[in-house]
Amino acid sequence: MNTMICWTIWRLMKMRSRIETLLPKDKHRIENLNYEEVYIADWKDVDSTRGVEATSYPPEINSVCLHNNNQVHIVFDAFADNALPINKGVHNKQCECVLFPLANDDCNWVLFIETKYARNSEFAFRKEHDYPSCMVNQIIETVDYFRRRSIIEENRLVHALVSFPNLADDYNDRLFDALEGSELSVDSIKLKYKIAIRGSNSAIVISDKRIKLKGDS
Amino acid sequence: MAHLTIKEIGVIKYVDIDLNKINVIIGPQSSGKSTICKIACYCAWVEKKISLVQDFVYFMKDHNFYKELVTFHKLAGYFMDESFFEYETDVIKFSYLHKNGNAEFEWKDRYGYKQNQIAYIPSERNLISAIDNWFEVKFKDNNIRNFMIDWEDARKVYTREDPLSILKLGVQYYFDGATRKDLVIVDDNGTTLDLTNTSSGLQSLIPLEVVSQYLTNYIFAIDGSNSVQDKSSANFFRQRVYEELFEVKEINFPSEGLFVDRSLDDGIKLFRSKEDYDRYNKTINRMLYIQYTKLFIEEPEQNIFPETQRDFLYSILELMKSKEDNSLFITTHSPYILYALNNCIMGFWVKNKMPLDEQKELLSLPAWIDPALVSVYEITDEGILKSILTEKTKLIGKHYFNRVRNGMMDEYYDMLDYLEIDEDEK
Repeated sequence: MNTMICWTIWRLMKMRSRIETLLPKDKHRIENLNYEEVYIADWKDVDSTRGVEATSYPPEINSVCLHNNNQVHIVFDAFADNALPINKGVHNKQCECVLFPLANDDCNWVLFIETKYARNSEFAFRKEHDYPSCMVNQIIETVDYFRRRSIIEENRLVHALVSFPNLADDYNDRLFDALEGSELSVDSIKLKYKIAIRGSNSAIVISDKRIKLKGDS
Repeated sequence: MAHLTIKEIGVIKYVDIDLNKINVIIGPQSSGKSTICKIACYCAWVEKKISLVQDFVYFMKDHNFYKELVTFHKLAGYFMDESFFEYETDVIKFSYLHKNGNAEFEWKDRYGYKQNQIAYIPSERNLISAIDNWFEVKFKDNNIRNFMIDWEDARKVYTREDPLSILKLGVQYYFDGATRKDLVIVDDNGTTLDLTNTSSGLQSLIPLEVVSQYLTNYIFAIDGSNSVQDKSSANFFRQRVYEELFEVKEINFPSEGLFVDRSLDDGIKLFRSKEDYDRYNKTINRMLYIQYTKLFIEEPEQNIFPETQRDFLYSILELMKSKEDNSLFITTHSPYILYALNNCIMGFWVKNKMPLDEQKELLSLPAWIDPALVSVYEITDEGILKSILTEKTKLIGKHYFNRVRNGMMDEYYDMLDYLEIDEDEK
């Protein structure tokens, strides 16, 4: 098959299929959901045999919540450690997971999530941990991988949550204040990487086409 | 502590609060913040007036109680049949139900009143800064006119030789008696502007600062300036207190132990003992001479930069702390006022743990306040007053700030999806 045919087939494949084609099964777990509320929690620190999981009910540990009142059918893909061959830069890890509507359309939203289970604000923003920078870069590198491998289109807008599930208070400003000087402001990330990113533990799925990153309160 | 209940007045459905030393209400426009502030102020004024004349008659006839309120605080149209409010202190209790027409009063301790200065600083205060000839403008006997009277008294004490520094802005205010001009020295070179020509921020802040400083500081520093009655009324009042509480009606001889007061103002008065005489003087002093100040301020943040709002809040809290009974009632739209107040409460919690040298670095230090003395409320959409202090720490809940901030940020994020800047525009 020539390249053009391959490319056309690739474009016709659903996003879920593209991911499954590229990633070995043991490196990720992909599933379809249509819960009204999708709770996403990373169990690694609590139970090393478990990873990032999505449930329709609040799990025993704090989680990220996707409010999905319209029960949009969603694909949830949780990455295992080092699932993606990302090895550039200081933060050479991918984020925790990606979610997107099952319906195949290049205009649908795509949401990447990175979580850190810092026990409190002081810990989350301790300089030596450098969590804000790590988390944002993990998102940027994962999105970059998805684009380079044509899982998503080069110019497609994606959304991202950088989340501290254990923090109940709004930390968006503090998170991006901590990145001051690194050119990683919310608007510069949007303009440069086409990622709408927010420090928050929740988002609202409006439809296949729309998702809103929501502030915590 | 006074207790205030309000039902069905304007958009206010129900309020039931103890009036604390520091009271702050935040809420959007037309949510009823000022209605509560005005009624609280009015009740304090009625208590003061009744305590001085020692009877309720004026307020019990001709709907005077209602008329005074709606005229002075511009509340005409806010009342319906079921409108009700009740005010109770250690001195007096009174209530008003609109369909009944007149108020009901009850003494609790008629000679227990502690005299105070009450000032209502309305949101329209900028008038005196913005209009050169404000004193020629005719107002009804309302809170704006009353503020103008306070302003007239206050401004005279700040002269070119002894100006008032306005917060930490490097700006000083004084009144030039010869030209009757309000002048502001705006820099170290002595550049002086007429108040009407200064920035809108200074025009808002200076009246607020001048009147607040005068009423909480100056009037107590000048001996004799804080009597609330003229001489003959004061003598009448003294006589009444003497007759009611201390008069010696029968003298049994031998009369050893009796104490005679020969002060000219009072005439000759006989007391059972020196202790009774001292108690009489204390009572008179407490009831006739201003002991403390009650300030009611609408929207102190008007036209003021957030950091200056913070500095104002620190300054006014420091003034409030200067006397145990001073009290403050603020209505505001500004979360910055609440951020600053939160710092003052936080200071109270950390004062025993934080090293002194670190404390001294903090602007809020002089304003740190016991959270038990602070009440902060928001008005719900249903017209009900709700505390936004967390139960445990008595700090303003992060939840509240988050909600306010996220309300703004959610819209930013709604638009972020579409942010594109052309190279030419960058």
